[in-house]
Amino acid sequence: MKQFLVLTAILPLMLVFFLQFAMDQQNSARVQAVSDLVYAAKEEARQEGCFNKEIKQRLASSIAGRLGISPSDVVIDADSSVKYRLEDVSGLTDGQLERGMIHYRVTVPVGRMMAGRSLFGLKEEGNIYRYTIEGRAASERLRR
Amino acid sequence: MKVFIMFLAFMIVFSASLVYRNDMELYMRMQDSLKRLAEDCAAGGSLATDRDLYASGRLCIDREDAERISSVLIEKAMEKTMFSGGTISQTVKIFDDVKGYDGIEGYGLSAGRPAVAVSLTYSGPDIFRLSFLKIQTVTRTAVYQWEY
Repeated sequence: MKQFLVLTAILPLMLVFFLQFAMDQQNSARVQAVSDLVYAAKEEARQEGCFNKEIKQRLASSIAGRLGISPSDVVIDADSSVKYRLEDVSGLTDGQLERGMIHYRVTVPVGRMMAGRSLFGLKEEGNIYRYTIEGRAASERLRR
Repeated sequence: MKVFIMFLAFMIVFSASLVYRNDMELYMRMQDSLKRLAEDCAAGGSLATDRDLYASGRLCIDREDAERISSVLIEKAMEKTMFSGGTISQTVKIFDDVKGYDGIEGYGLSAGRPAVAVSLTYSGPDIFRLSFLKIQTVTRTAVYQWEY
């Protein structure tokens, strides 16, 4: 009986590990999907010179569709004014070089961070795994 | 007591596995991010055309400018990302009409069009927290070739 009581106490703790492994695996696949979609959008933005409204909308809806979340949950903070390809970079300072670079930052709630949160007294809103991809890409858009 | 000892043993093994899995995930993310950064550096560097040589009918990439663009991208990438705890060194290789196309086949490309190959090496603290694993460097290479 004593052993049975100990087992009932420790079994939930052991099961949390298995759930955590499964959740981490799932989050990993979701992060990879987000990463691929942001990469594709960035390549489009390089051609356009910025993350215009269409690119942002397409990216938000494709991420939302892949992860099963609302497009409004996808936070895209990216340059929306057109940046042109720098024709001659010699003589430009590092700060001036940024004129031809498109900055983007995409934050997505990928999933839950920890399995069995109630066992550890965590609140639902504090248990969200938000993944952020940030970077810069050189614009390829030419001035006409 | 026996059950408790077994519990402790499982706890240690499971915790170690979880730590290993998370560190491996970070290692994979680092490789992925570094590869994408290398691609951005190569693509950015390939835009630095030498205008004087272009005017004389040759397609050439200015090495100094290509390296500067690449450096700025690396510097910015290190500000807030997983790379901020270490350093990234770059090796830029340029293939064009002036520097030649020797070795371009090694990147799976054909000669005739300018290309920039950027190899990035990240060095920093040990990625794995488990004592028997030690990885402190990650290297990824990307190449960008003109299409016309």
